[in-house]
Amino acid sequence: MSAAKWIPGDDELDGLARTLPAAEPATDRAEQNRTRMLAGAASVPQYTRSSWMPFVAAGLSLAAAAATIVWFVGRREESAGVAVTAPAARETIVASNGGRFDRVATWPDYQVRVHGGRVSFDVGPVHSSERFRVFTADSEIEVRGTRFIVEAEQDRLVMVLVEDGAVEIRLPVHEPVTVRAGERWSPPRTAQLDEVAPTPLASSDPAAAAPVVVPPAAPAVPSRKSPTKPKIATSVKESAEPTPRETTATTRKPAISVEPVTPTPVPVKPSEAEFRRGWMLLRAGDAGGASQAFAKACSDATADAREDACYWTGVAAKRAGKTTTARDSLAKFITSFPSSARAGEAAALLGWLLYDGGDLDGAERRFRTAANDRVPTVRESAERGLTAIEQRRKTP
Amino acid sequence: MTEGKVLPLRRVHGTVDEMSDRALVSAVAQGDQAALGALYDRFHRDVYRFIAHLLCGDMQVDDLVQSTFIEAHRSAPRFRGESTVKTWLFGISANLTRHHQRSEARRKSAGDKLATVPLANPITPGEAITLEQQRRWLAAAVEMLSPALKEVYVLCVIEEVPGKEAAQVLGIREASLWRRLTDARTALRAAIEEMQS
Repeated sequence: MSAAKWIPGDDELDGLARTLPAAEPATDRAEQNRTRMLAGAASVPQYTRSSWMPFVAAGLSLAAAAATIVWFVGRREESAGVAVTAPAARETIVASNGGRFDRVATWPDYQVRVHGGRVSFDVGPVHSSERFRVFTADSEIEVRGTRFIVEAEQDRLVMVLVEDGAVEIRLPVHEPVTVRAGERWSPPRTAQLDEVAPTPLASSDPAAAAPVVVPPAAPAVPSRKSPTKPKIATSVKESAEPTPRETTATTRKPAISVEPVTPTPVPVKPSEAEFRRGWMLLRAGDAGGASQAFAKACSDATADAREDACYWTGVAAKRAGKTTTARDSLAKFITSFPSSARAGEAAALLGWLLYDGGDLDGAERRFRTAANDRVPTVRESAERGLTAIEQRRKTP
Repeated sequence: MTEGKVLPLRRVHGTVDEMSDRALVSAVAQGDQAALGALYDRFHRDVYRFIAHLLCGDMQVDDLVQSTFIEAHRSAPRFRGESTVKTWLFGISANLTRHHQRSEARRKSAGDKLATVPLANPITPGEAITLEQQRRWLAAAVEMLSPALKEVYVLCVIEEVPGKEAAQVLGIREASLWRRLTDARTALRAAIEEMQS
């Protein structure tokens, strides 16, 4: 008997269309996308509300075109030991003591890359829609109208001395530091790129995690005056220690008479530092050490990353073969964060640990929880677990 | 000025999560990164599904989801609350997807495009028509719809966005929307019928 043709009506068609399987984003991909989206959004200006925006955009386009022409013409002037003054004299950049710099972009987002030596800046008021930034390979300095001096060695920031106004210095890992008039600042040792810990991300796979925002990349060249081995920063105390390079920099005669002050960077919370250390150890293959570091971060009830830390305590312990710790940690995580996006994943993981340990009832309970997870791979894992339990129970 | 700072990577607890969708967009319009993260958490699955329906197997879904929220961040100050936030995000996604498809169309030859359209398994004589088979035909037929018809069908039927809002976010008149919807259903029926013959 041949099948009758199916010619659906509108309602039947639409009703069936609503039951079509929908693609779901994988949890780890979603986390990476979230991270990249936030990083991308941070560098994208927002539209304004007003209706005259198209005219402003057209004006800005013209201005940008003109600025580009000026920039191309002006680039030829830049070299060591000379002063560069914009036609409107909004910024004056003077290189001395072998100062080398490049003007990367002009207004409205003025960017200067300092490679070495001493470079002085005198920048007029910067409007809210504009930026003036100075980069070295390992830092970014944001200006809001000021006079300051930047010293660098081999593309690394050595010292910032602010004569007037204030600048904000940003380094990987550390909180931004504001340096005000009369203050001199040198970077701590952990700010060096070859020692910087990767920013931890809330991804299910630490190896797949991407950095969020990094300063302009450069090869990690050890400082001439601190040829120490690359060492992972393991504590806040260590990061606050002055380096030989810093000492050298601060003994130079200041260009202004104000007593120099070295502001201390905002310290990272111990739990945050432990969390980062956990990631580094996990990436380095030391799952046992990572588990301990995550456990310390997890034990801080006020830690921002507590949820992630508690989850990774269990995962890292499992990777290290510490099944008892892994079981306890995952069970604790599920109890502490029942509504976590990773609760299902943790339940599946715990289910398999219990299954391996012969606790079939406990494993079944965990797999049944994981079977309702929204992530297909977690559900599949749970289904496999339940099937395996069923088969093992049938086996005498 | 967030460059160089650690961005809010973790879930935002407390006030941001308690905000209504529109309040969240208002916060995003003020440049609140945490609110943007929360907006993503709240809607990224819907946006992903919507784009996946429009693109059918294209590997760029993740990129377009990211772009949608970056564009939402840029456009948040212009959100006037005339549609729901989800519909507004769908509108942004639809625009970006359309743009993506145009770029892809330029890149690919027509032959390549045809080759990538997955066809449903042909029915064998005597085989009973099950719901699962019907679903397969319909999924294949939806994939074969033109982009203009597909976005209307997915938006109005699968995502159940009201016609007025859908027309607004797609930038077309409501009458055009209904016409396209009728055309889409007709095209779907024709494709399904062809698959059975």
